[in-house]
Amino acid sequence: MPKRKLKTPESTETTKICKKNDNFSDFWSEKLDEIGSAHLADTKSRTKSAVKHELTGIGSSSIYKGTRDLQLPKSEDLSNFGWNEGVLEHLQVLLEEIEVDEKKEEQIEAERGAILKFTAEYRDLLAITGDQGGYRSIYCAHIIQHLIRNKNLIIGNKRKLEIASTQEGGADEETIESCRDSGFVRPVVLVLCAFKKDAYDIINRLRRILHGDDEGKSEVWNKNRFEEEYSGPTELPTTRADFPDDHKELLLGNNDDAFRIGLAISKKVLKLYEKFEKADILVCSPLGLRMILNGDDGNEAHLISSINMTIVDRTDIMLQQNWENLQLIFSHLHSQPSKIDVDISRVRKLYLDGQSRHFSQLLMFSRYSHELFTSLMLQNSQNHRGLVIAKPKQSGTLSNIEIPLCQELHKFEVKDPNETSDLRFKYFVDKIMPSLIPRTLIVIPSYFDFVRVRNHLKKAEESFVMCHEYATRAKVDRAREMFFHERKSYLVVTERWYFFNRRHLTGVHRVVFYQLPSHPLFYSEFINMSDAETSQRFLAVLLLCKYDRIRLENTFGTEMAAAVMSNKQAVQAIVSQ
Amino acid sequence: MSDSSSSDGEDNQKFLGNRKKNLTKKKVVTEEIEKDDEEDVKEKSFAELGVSQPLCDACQRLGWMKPSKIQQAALPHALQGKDVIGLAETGSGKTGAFAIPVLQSLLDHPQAFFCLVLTPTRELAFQIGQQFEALGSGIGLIAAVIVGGVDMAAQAMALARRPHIIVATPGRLVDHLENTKGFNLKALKFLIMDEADRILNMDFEVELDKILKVIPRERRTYLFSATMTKKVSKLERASLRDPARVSVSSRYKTVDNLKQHYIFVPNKYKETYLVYLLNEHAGNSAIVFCATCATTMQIAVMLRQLGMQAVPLHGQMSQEKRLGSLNKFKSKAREILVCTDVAARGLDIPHVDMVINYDMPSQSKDYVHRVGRTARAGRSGIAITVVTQYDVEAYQKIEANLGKKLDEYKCVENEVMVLVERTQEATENARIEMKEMDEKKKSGKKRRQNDDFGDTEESGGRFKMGIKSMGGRGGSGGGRGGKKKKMSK
Repeated sequence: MPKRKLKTPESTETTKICKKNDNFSDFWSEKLDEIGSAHLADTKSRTKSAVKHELTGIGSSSIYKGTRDLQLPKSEDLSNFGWNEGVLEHLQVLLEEIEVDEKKEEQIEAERGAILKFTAEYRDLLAITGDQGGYRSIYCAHIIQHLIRNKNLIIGNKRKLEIASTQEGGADEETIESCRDSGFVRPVVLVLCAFKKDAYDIINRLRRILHGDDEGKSEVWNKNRFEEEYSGPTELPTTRADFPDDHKELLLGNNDDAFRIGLAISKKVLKLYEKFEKADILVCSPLGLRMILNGDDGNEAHLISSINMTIVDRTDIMLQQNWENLQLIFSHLHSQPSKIDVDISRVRKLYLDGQSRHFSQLLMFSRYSHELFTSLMLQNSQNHRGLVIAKPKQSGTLSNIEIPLCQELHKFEVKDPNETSDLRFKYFVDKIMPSLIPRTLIVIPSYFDFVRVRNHLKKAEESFVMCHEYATRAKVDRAREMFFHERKSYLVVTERWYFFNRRHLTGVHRVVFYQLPSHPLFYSEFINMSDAETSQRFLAVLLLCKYDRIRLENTFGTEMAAAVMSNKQAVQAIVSQ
Repeated sequence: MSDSSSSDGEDNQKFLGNRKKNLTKKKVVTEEIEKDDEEDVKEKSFAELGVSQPLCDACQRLGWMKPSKIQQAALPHALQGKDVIGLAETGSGKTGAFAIPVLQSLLDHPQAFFCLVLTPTRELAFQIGQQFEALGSGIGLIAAVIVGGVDMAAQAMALARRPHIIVATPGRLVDHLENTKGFNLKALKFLIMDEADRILNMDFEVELDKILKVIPRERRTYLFSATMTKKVSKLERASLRDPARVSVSSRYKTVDNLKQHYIFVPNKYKETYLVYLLNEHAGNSAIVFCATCATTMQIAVMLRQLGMQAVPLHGQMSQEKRLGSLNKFKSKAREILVCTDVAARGLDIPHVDMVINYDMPSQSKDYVHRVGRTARAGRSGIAITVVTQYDVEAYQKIEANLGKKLDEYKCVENEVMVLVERTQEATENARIEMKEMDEKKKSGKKRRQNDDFGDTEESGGRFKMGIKSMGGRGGSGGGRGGKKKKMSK
């Protein structure tokens, strides 16, 4: 394949003409008053004033203004970021070695360019992309660049203070105030990812950005322990050969979801397993970090009181873990610390004034959009540099359906979003349950909805069995068997159970989607499980309301979703040949 | 007995409430009193005292229309750059007396950690902090209050803002000097010790010593105290350089021969007036006569709470303990002897400067014996009898037997009243301490020798540590085990 290069200056003349940007200094030097702070915290007002733009690379996006207008991307080269040359060079190497489908090459180049720009400019960003290696390399480079600038600043100020203190009268007020460069605690970067294998990949990218590929030059402390604890199998079990690609990906590597590790960088040395008090970067799973915030393993929330940069990598997988852990972590970010162990004369005024949430960048990456991702971003993005939420046009996954199908779409009316659950349940009980037939699979994505429906089915003494994430393997197998042999009429499954097990369900003649799955592929996969006679048309029943728009777009594609939503009929039928 | 000189006209001095109807109006002789500062005769405005215009405006804004007495006395010296030691009580306006010079100097040389104010209690620290902020609100002043009972991290954040003024209780400040990185007072320009007698009496000596060691010697220091104790005097010698001394109270410099007086006071404020009298004559030896052993002990302990050098002497004490107290008094290690008539009878008690009849003697001959302890062998002395509304008849009998009317001792009422709160606090603490002694006595110590009350000095020392644990300092001060080292003379 031909090598792909990021844009570089065509000539030295061009380089000289380009204006040098200093995003790091711009980020920290903003003077924020109460009006600016109130504006950034006003989610409703910012949502109303958000501007829709089609951004090259990341698609249709909502742009939420910070304290200044956000410059839309132009075709600029990397030298305008003012980054360290070594960082840029090593980033190029990482990006080049990723295999990319030739047909998608141009799109991915544009996507990486956009992500790089917004990241380097310290914007908050929610990006929808499958280019995992690409965006990871970019944010790892940004982290290293940020830490290089930060450490140089601290070292420079320290030297400045030492010189001033030897002079008569010691350091003056102006000098002391100008040397404020730190937060309450040392950790400044927080990376949240789902599994140890993700941490393994991210940390190796950080190492390569820092050191390049010359093994002789790099020094990594506790490398052997890291290899032992974070690496995992690279061979796929043969029994899983026919599973979908994303499930195979799930099985490879170390998929432990309870971990936390501190990294420190000092004079080109990368220290792994550094104590959090002395770490610069924390790489954690939501569960692993949550346990030390106010859980069984401690009350150390002060350790994330001064985070400048939070990266949430693969929120789509975290959705299948425990979303509440993520919310709890965010509630502790930027809280006033219960313990301060740094030189207080070096603490930036903005931390003392409770403004740290406005000087913190938030990056979120996912394979697909979800209402919870948007909500988490909007609730926590108060960066004075603004926010971009990308929602690229979706082609949907209906083309994966392999059987003749009739899709029956039931739209129920919702005026208050808080009533959505109740109204969905009422619609299901009143309109769907009376016409259920044996051999019906009922898919309920949310466990809480599942509990409600299960209790109702029990009370009504319906004939059903269940597959959910808390059921034992034996119970699940028995349930599947009873359903297959028609000793039970209905099989009720949750999305999370299916995500982690991806088992083929046999004996399905009809499927009811209580709600569309979050994962775009699941809709077609459940439908393709049909065992109906080829002469009959398979029926899929789907409940939806206007707040399911994002899920509908993911599965049906943006255009068809718009058509379905604008159709006035309460029940729509879509028949495929 | 010497005849007192008479002055022209009558002086019907008013004080709390009217006198009992039974008492007839009588002539009162006005003593000629030396004044510490003759210039105070004429009141001056803040501007005339040398206060700069922005601060005069600030005082006006706060409703401080005229300088108080202590401000009149202290401001000229302070504004000239002298150290100041002031004898003044709460409510006398001493906060303004030290805040104004500090702010005036701060305006000339703006700087973080410019001034440290040490106070004995959290409440006082908050008050002073508020007054600084009120005075300095127009000039961008930042003040931080650092006291126990408040979250250490929140205070560290306040210190991280590098305030101009720190108002602190000594214990918590030491915690931050030792534990909060990046915080030091190497550039401090002003040290204020407010209510220094209470700071020293509340077991903050170790903390105060630590603070004095880490702040610059080159600084200006103001010390204010309601009472002048030996500890305060020692602190003054160690910390202030050639200070100007100011006082809001007038006092006798010398006493010519024996003077006999009475004061007529509400029974409710009896202890307060006693403290006032002893404070007026601080540095002089005194005997305080009480009617009962219990009163004797309580008064002695209460006076010790206030930092005064008092020892008890009463009939229920063992002979050994009585001799111990007497010897301390004789050797002038203790200035005040609190005793009953019976205990004092037959003892060779040396000349004392002052006798106070806290409780009325039951017989005239006891009165004569009591006051005979002073003004002996040609030396001067004063005797004051405390008369409450319940003592009027007994007092009149004594006057009748003496064959003459005594002169009323003139008290400055508002100066007495500012001592009320402190005295009540000390009285309550004394009651607690005596209850502890009593319980210890009941706990079944068999030997008779131990049935006596313990040496009040030791028990007082133990109790002081108890006060600390009862929230005197509060917060996480860290454990301080072991005995407190006695201060060597």
